[in-house]
Amino acid sequence: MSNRKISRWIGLGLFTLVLSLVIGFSTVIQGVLLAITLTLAGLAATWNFSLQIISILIITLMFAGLLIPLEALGWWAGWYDDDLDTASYPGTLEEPIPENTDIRKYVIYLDGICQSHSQYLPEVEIFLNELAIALPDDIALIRGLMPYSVLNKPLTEDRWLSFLWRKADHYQMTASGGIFGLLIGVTINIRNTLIVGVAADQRYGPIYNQATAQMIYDSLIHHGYWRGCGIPITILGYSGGGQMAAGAAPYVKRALAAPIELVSLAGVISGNHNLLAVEHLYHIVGDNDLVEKQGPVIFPRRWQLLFLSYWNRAKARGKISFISLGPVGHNAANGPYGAEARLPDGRTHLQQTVEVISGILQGTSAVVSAARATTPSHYDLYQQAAFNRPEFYPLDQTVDPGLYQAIAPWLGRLILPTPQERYTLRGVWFEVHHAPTEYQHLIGKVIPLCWSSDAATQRFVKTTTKAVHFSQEAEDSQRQGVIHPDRLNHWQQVDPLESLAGARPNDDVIVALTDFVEVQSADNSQEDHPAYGLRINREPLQITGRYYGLVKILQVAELQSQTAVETLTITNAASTSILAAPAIQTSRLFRVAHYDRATHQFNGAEEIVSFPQVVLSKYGSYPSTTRDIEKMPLNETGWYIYGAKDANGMFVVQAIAPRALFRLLPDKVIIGKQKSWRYLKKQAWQVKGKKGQIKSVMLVGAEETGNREQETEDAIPDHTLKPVRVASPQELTRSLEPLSPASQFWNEGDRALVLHVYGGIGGKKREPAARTPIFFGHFAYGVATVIREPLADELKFDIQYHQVYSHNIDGIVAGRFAWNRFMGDRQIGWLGTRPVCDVLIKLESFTGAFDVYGKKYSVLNVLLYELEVMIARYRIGDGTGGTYVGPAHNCCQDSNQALYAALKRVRNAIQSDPKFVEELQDDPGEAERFEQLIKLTEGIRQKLLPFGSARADWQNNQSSLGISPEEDFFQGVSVGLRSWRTLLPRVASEAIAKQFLDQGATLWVLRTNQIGGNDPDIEPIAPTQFGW
Amino acid sequence: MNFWDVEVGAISLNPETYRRVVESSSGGLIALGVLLLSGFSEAIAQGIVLFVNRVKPLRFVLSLAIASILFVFGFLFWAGSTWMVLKIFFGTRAPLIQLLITLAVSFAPKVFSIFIALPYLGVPISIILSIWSFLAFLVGIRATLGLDLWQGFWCGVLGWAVLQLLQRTVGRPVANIGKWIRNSVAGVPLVTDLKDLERIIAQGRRS
Repeated sequence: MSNRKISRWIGLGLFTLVLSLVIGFSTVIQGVLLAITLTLAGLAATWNFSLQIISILIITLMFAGLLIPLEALGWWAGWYDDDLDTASYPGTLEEPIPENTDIRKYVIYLDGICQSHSQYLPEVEIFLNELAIALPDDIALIRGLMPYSVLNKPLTEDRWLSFLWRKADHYQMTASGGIFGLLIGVTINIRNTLIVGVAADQRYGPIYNQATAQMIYDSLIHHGYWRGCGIPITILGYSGGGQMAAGAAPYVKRALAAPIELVSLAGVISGNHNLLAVEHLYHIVGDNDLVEKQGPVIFPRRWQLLFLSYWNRAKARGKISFISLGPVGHNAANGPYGAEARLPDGRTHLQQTVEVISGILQGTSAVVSAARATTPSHYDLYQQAAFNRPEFYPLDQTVDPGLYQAIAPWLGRLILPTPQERYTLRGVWFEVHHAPTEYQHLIGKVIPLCWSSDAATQRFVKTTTKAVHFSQEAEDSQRQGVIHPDRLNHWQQVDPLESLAGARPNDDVIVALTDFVEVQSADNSQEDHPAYGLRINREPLQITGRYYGLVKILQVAELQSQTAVETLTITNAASTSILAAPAIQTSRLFRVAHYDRATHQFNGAEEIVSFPQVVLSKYGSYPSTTRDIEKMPLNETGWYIYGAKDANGMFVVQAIAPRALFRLLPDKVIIGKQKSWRYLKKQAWQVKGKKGQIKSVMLVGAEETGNREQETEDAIPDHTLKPVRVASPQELTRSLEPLSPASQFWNEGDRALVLHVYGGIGGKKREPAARTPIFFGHFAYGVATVIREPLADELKFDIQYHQVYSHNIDGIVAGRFAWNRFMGDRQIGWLGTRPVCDVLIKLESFTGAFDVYGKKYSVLNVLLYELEVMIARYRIGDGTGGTYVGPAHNCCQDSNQALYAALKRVRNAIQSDPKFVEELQDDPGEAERFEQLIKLTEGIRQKLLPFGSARADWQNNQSSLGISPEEDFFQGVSVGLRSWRTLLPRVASEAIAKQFLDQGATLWVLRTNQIGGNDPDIEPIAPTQFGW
Repeated sequence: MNFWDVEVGAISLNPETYRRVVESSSGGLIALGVLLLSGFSEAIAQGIVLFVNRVKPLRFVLSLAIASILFVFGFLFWAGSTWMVLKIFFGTRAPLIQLLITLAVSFAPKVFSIFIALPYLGVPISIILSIWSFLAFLVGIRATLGLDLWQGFWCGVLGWAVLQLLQRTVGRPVANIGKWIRNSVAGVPLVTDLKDLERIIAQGRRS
């Protein structure tokens, strides 16, 4: 009782005394006085006694508090026997795993602070039993660990105070001991609460949590886990177990190199552990849980004020999902394990808890609704045009094989599986559009597409597979209309195929399968098990169209209008109210003449093809136009047109490519390092007055000899600037090779590294990014291969890009791109709007191959591999769902991080294996090339790392994508400045090209300046040149 | 005046306690007792450093005792530097012994340092105790040397600065001797730097 209450009683007594005197009842007064005196004396005695009890309790608690860390500290210091075996209590499986089962996931349960040994409270036992029933057989549920002891030892055995804990446990289980029993029973809770304090402590925590991690590690190993197997682990912690799980998880991750998720059920978590290291934390709490609510108050690291704490950073990066259980308390009958208490929907608390947790563990729980776009994206707008959607092109339409070629042997549409399908499918669905002759019957079928099981492919998949949980930035960015992989949000273990298939809101990623495609067929196919499946070992190539032809545009045939039908149903729901569908969509029909391989002229079959009007961008300009396209000089050498037939059998042109750009027929040849460098530096990016033109220049880095340069300079007329030079039929019928100086340097099958840089859109309809005087541009690597194109029967460059591309409003998905998709696509490609410079580099030591142990070893392949890792990471933002352009992370920085990683791998291979070097040098030619390679890599390293050492994240290959530039502003700027050459696309491109030139490489510069029809409202802007 | 009167009086920041202990004949002994007790308490609180360094049990106890004694020597250095500051900047003529007793008694709140070892509450307790001790220092120096509050404050700050300077210059050999004693008693070269301790823990138990 408080002093104030006592005073109130005294006052009341005095008042009664005075009143009694007044009314003169003396005997009564005496009686009352006696009663008051006795009461006050009793109260005082009780008060003193209570105070003493409280004091004793506090002192005991403090004493216990001082002793409680000793077990962990003694464990660390090795005070116990050296042969102490923490693995002697490895826990048990809640349900045995059937034989020959591939375990999909390991789940470890850590109980709350009531735990004294491996047997839990009855309600917990029921919960675990129900959970095990709800989970499939291939999820192992481990129970019985004792996280409140560093030695994983029950309290009730082999301890000084075992007798006390046994008693306490008895009273806790039976509740038969009245108040005494309750007090004894609660001692376990107090002891374990102190242990939670140790685990949460900044000083003891790292020691204690390593011990917990050790017991989890031992348990997993005991139950068949092995380091590096990559099987996901989930630690499920209830109440204090949530804290123990959060503390141990980073260490378990370090020890096992496994993806780890945490499920905290009513967890009381301090927030000072590195939650950024784990895949995700699901924090499940009832609204009436008063214990969990203490966490955000008593733990400073969870205060919003400390925004740089692990907890708050993890929260901002979307690593924590908060899931409400509704009107559920913390424990006992009203807690999440309550088997009697019911929710408004009739389910018991226990049923709900089991459903939520089993859903999370199986990856089928839609726990958090994703943010919806409030601003329409370009992608949303473009989807309104039917021709931009795959269903516009029926699969049963065929083309004349004499006029058109399939773009690739294997081509199709990726379809994301449902969460229920994905664990059995282990890949994505593939709607087959093209298949090689022997598999023609698969066209139109939807079959599984999976990663190949070979070790190298699986290593790649493992490196790039991650859970996706949108960060706050990703959700904000999505609301602003940027296309993020919304359908993958809260998916566990998203692999690069899934991230490609699920990158946009709709299943409209069209890809070609290149390189290795293994067709698997099952003999006993059932309805739900397709008979065929494909396996690949490389990222599919994003393309546009199904077929391509080579034509010259003769004239406009007519203007066609058609109503845009059902355009809105496919876009996402929130944006439909904002978007207004254009009532009419127009198409221009052109009469075209096909190229005749026999005559080498455009006097083949004529037909009408459709160029649908592309949708206007939000910036007011059209992504491409067909205005006067038939009058353009480039029309004389023809266009490759890519597309497919619509339902009416009309060939619809989805992408174009000027033939002249890809032919091995340069406008100009420059020989000599200095002259080549001068051209690259001073002339390559000239854009003034060049709109609508292309330029194809070959640079030879070999030393100049005699007056050769004079002969070759302008040897081939510029067919864009000047009135177009039309090749005579006689000239064209001859083989290209004797005509072209290129034939000395470029042959069929040769590969080249591509440095791609694009500039900006200026003019009246200037894009927002080009409103300042500085335009950074965009950078990407790619690979060009000299192929013989069958329609023209001539050599041409086939260019593919590895686009490390941030999430954007256009719906461009980071990945491998065919030129016709990234550049040539009439709706989302940049050919019509941006100036582009592709530098193709051929240097045998880099783009060719060494013979190592009888196998081909190509540095270019190493680079492509690293780029494919980077683009797969980009698509999911290292699990955060988004990537953003900033000084530390952008297309240029991260493409060059891949280059850095590739060079590092080559260097490691060389340093770690002396025989490797011998193999590289085993013949004189190879030895020379090896020398060249060493010089080149050193030169590039010095240029990329002007301050001597690489950025820490490059060195350690950290997963640091998806952090918005704002979050790490100063660090980002500092990192950006330290690696400034790779911050600026044009500077990076030129710096790297120069390194190759210095080693005598042959380069080919392909420049385009807003090609296609004429749009008078735009002008090309070159990326700003920064000093040197 | 007995030991506990001084402890309680100093902890409750009573200026009279300081005046009386300075005048008391047993003041020096009482002050030493306060210092040793506070030193021992703090040594226990810092015991985690010994654990991290994997010091064996018997050596652990010895290390605590040595730490208490070294605490007294550390105090002497601090008192010396404060005395220098008082002489140079404030022109105080108070005898050294008077200052020593005052400063030693102002360590009384540190007797609670043991509670720094409490899980989770330890860190805020250590902050509170540091502030409390500094207040005791201000009260003591004001009561016995007649400095005003601001003078006392600057005396504390400058005294600390001079101590740091001494530790890094002429005091280095002495510090090295202290370190050698600590290491010899502990049986291992003790790592005390916070970053290095974190590194040891991060490396894991078996490393």
